[in-house]
Amino acid sequence: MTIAHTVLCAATLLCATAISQEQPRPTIGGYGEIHYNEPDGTARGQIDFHRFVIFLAHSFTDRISFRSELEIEHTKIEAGAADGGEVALEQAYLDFHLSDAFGIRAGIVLIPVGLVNLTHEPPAFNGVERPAVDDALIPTTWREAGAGIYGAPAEGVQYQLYCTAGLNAAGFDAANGIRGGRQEGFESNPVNPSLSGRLDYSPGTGLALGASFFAGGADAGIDSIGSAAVFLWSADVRYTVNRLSLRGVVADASIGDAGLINRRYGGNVAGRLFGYYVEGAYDILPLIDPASDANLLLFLRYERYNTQARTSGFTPLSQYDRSDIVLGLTLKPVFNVAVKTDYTWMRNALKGPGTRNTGQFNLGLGYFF
Amino acid sequence: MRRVIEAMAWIGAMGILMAAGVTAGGEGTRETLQRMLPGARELRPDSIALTDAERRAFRERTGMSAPAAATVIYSALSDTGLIGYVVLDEVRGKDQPITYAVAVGPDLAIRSLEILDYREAYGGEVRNGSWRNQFLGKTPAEPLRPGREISAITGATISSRAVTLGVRRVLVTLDLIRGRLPR
Repeated sequence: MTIAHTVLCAATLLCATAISQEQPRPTIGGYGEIHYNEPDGTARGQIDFHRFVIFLAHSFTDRISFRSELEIEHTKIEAGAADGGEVALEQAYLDFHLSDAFGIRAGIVLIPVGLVNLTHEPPAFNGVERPAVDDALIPTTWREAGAGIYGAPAEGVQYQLYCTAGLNAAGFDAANGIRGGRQEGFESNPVNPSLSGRLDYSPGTGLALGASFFAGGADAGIDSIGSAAVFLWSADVRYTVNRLSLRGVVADASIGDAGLINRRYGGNVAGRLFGYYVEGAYDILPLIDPASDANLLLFLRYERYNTQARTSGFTPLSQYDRSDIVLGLTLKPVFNVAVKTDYTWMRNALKGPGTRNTGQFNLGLGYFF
Repeated sequence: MRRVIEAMAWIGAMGILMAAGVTAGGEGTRETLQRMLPGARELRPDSIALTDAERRAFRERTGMSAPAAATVIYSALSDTGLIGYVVLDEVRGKDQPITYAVAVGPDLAIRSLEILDYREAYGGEVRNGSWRNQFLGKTPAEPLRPGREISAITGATISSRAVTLGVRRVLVTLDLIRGRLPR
């Protein structure tokens, strides 16, 4: 006790003298997106203010800052309504920025896997809906309570490494893999501390490479399902040259003890999930109006995602071996406002009568500030 | 009791790390600014505000609103005389200020661009030399549009855009007060 206490007192004193006090600088910001989705066939389309998000950030000093993101999904929640929206704290953490190479971050943090989970503001990605891989494979917006370190130790290199609350296998399912297992900082069960990390490397202005992972048990203390260990890795690349931008993401997840999970919870959880997407976008506005500062991106994305890549004890459900082709336009009159439209062709590997490949027309507005 | 000790030890360890990290900070701001113009022996600050007519001209040229406060301009003096000017400024990235400095020669062409403090959670690539080097030699006569004359950084669009517009703001301000700059 005395040693720990002395250490604490000394550290507090050092911090107090070392960190310069500055005027507080709170900032607010936000993003939002409104969607119109119209499936092929007889089903009617619908308009939805899908996400309305407020950022609140505050710098206590040059070295200590707070960031948060509060979201209202689908405009409202109603008591007793079965299919209402949600209000969620998507991020809320403190940064202790000790040096450029090393900082400590604690609170509700984004699991740093994939591209869209970290950068999910609507003008930052093409297509009205987020890529399907960033939903079924990487459960965007994925956040958990925990702490970790981050920094930029060398030019072009950045890292993040966190220890957070883990997943809960009770929520895993056949269609969306680990998505339902997120605890999202809601009275999280801490019995499965999990590691996640990301390494970013950008050798020049136009190229950005990323590698990320998440690893941890998901048994939530239930002995009969083993450790239900989840290991997810992902790699991503972004390349921009002149008016052309390309991006690609691959993600591969394994779920241990899937047989035990299915026996206990009665689902069809696979032992392995796999997916990827590639996207190309070209700014065609200079062809129409060379003087304009705006962007009009014509893009095409191909996605393949299979949440039943390997199963044990049952035949993989091939309706969850899916591929999407998305063709669309993103108009950005200014860089942080996007008017989007696309058509998405959705296919799956199910054979036989009654199967149908579908499509959907999407129209959307997005902004951030 | 054991848990209390454990918790305190963790907090203490974190505190020591923080203190170590903060005290290990590098050179001061003044030294960095001086280093941006090789040969500079002395930096002499002057505070210069735009007149109303200059503010209007600023808006017309850039489409941005003119800086609210007076600009502090450091005249860099070598043994033989004036070798340029350095301006220290801040722009807002996604939610935090980015502190940067622009050094120009007497002809107002950029000699150096430095990021002094980057506080955002992500997108620190504006610190990369390969990106900052694009600004070298640029003058107030060039428009410096993000994604056109200065390429944006893939993965750090917001901060590269903010710094580009900030540098443009500094150059145009210097150009408008060119006649009043210390010689």
